[in-house]
Amino acid sequence: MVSTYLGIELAAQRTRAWLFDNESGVFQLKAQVDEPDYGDKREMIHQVLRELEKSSGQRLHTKHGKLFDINKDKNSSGLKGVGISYSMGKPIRATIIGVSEKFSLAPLRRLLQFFNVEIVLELDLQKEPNVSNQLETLISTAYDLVVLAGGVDAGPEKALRAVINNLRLVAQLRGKTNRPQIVYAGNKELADYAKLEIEIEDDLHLAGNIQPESGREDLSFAFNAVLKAIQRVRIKEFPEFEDFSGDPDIRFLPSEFGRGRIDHWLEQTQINGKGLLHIHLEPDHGHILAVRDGLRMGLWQANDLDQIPIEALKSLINLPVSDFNLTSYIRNKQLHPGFVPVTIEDLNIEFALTSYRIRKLLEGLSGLYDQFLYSPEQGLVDNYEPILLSGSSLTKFLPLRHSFMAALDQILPRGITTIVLDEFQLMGTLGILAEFDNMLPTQLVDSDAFTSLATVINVVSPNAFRRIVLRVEVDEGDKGYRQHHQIHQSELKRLETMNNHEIRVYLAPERDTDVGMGMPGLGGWVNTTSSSLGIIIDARGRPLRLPTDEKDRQELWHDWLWEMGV
Amino acid sequence: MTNKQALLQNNCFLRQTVTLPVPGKVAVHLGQEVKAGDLIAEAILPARFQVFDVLNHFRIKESKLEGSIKRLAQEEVHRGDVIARKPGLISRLFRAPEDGRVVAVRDGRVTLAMGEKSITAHSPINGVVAQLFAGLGAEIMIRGKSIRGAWGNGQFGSGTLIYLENLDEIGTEGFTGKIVFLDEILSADQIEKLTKAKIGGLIVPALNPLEYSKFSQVPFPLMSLAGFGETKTPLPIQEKLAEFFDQEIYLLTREPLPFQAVYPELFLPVVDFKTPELFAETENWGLGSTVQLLGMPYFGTVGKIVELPDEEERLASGVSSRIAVVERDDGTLIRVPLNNFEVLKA
Repeated sequence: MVSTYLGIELAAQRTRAWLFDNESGVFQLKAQVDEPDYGDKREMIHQVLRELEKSSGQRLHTKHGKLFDINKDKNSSGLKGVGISYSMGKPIRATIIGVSEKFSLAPLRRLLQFFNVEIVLELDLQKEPNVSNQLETLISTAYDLVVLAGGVDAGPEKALRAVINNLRLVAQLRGKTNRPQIVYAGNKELADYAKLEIEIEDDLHLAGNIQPESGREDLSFAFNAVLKAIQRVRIKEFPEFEDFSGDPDIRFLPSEFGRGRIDHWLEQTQINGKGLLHIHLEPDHGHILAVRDGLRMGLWQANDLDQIPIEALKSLINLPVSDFNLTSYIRNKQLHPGFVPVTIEDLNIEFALTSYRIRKLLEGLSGLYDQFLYSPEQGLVDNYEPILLSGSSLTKFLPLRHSFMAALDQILPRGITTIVLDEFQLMGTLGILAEFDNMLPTQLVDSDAFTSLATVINVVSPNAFRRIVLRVEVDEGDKGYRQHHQIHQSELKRLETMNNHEIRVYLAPERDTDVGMGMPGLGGWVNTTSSSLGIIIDARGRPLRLPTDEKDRQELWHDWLWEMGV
Repeated sequence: MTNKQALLQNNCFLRQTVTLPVPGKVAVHLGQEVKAGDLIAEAILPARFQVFDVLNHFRIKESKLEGSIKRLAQEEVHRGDVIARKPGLISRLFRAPEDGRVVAVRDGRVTLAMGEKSITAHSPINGVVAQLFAGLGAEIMIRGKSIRGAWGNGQFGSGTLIYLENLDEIGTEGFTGKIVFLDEILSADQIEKLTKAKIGGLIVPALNPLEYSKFSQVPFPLMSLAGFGETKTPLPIQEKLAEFFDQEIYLLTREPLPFQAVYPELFLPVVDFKTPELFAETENWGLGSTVQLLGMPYFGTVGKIVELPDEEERLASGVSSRIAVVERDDGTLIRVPLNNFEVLKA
């Protein structure tokens, strides 16, 4: 029996679809489509399905041309489930209400900023104890979602009760069609009170207390409730998809949720003791995910080119570009986000934009989570492997080597890590389809659907400029032939590897040189597989020592890109 | 080929969404004809709220609460009315500070809503109500000809469109309320002159990107046809504009939201257009379509698609993309990624 699953992603200006089946015994990607679109999303689903039907020979429309031809018989072959992920739509306007900044509002920011949500109002009940003022603010602000948290279980209730009374009024005044979704994630003792008081049926979502005891925070208690609320907001925004939300064979969920789920699973299953970092860049937004010791950290950032300081971009460009051309490119890119760089100048500006966006994501995440240690100068302080890259800004608007360099120079990883490109943007859909059959993501991750970009060995040494810091021996298992290299301080070295080989690399660092093997001076054998760019040894140090002179800096960047084969 | 809407449209709809920022009542019905300035929706909100915590302020027991609150929820109250009273030797009162209504009595708290503030949404155009948004407003629709722009400063204007050869022609009289087309790249120092002339709106081929912050503050509606950079208005757009001159037009300089397909637009209402169907037919673009190029070095110039290869090609930048071969006005052939042009005419 062959099980087929269909994944669809509704992104801003793009619709993607993937077909997976286990005809060969294991699940594989059978066909995929990635189409630009500017109009009716429902029609776009039909269009990508027609393309998939053409390339796979599998019928996905029903006999009457409707969505989707799902085979309900568990014992026969056919389409078993459809996972629809979405990143389209304006950011959901949210209000967060908490009893204190540290224990309620800060966790709520972490919870909501994982998603495509813009926090338009924050009510700190300690700073604004006046219930009348709270009510006026709540009534005069436009938002679609309210999340209320605060108080440990069995703790004080008075301030929360008052704001719950106010939310009841807000819901009444706005009426059934326009009232916001309300998530209650505070003191558990008040959950029933909130339900009885607010009286808005399915528009109220009760979650566990995100701070059940003093000093203990667990956002996962509220994740599902927020997800349901987001889903209802999106269905209101796109009523043409209402039929998807109640169908047991269809999952309709935000893409960022899908990515979060699969990244979390990957981190939990790997045995290297490192975290997992995932950067996803689309023209309209970026999403960063870091999972470390089971803690899922994420941040969604809208791509607001208006906010990018020109000077910051200029420092990332490795070619002289006039201010006029630079600002023209940025302003016009805002108007035409799908614009593809054609000239070398365009390419350099796009590279700088991408680098800047990656840096902002990393900085944003470290601002939200104390556990995510990053600074633009020192890079990542913790060990993360693999580092996943996805999204059309990294796969369609830059050549692969430029995407790699933009990520490497902003992330500045520690120790030894692997950088992997999700060229077909599979991660989100796999996370959603996992609900139907968890063998699907398991087997896909082990397949060649992902592109291994490079194994990066980061060398940190106090040695002086151009002194040897590391000796490397590369064994490609090819009739005893071995390559030997010397790596100097401040050098970026690429070791090309042959295809389809298991490669062993012996690292012999100088004293005081740390290559991520546990302590400075300690080396050893590292096993790796072949990858698009090979093995990258980054001995440029932390922070990157860049010349202050613009021309010298651009030349150095140019040299590094040249080393990457650009 | 589909998926790109032509910038120049001959027989199309202008769809203008008119909504309140907060829910209220919609004052129009589907199919209703409306004039510019007509009320579409109105929200009447209490101007102020006052929440009085009876238990806390009177320091009474919960058992005494019921006897203390003198008004019921939804009751109208007038200034000075007693809302709550603490019984006893020394009586204390809570009186309504203004006329209003008791909107809630919960948990020992009385909530009063006082005064009224009205928020209204009016139609900026003449047209027909095509869609209602429950509690929020409506979509107003009108048929006519359209020229889509690339950037706008988020305002609305209407008036007679006139052509201005150069800025020296402009005086302080005779331009009031006129929508001006100026075939020059606007610089910020020219704005003052145009503001003094009290023009009703301005259309230019492109804007200087280095002065962006000033353009977004311009007091009149401003639309750039091609975006930011250096270019002149190409012939096909000039020809289309000629049909709009000396006519009453709408200039909707919407701030562009490309991911929601929202763009600024110049619109000429044509009442006698007849279409047999409700929706205008979509025109597909492809071989022979006239396109306007984006990006340097051909920014804003036009050409015709002469070839559309099926396979992706590797560009000089190293990026792979599907392309179109475009013959420019001077006869040169260039290979342009499909994302790097706008279709002028299908």
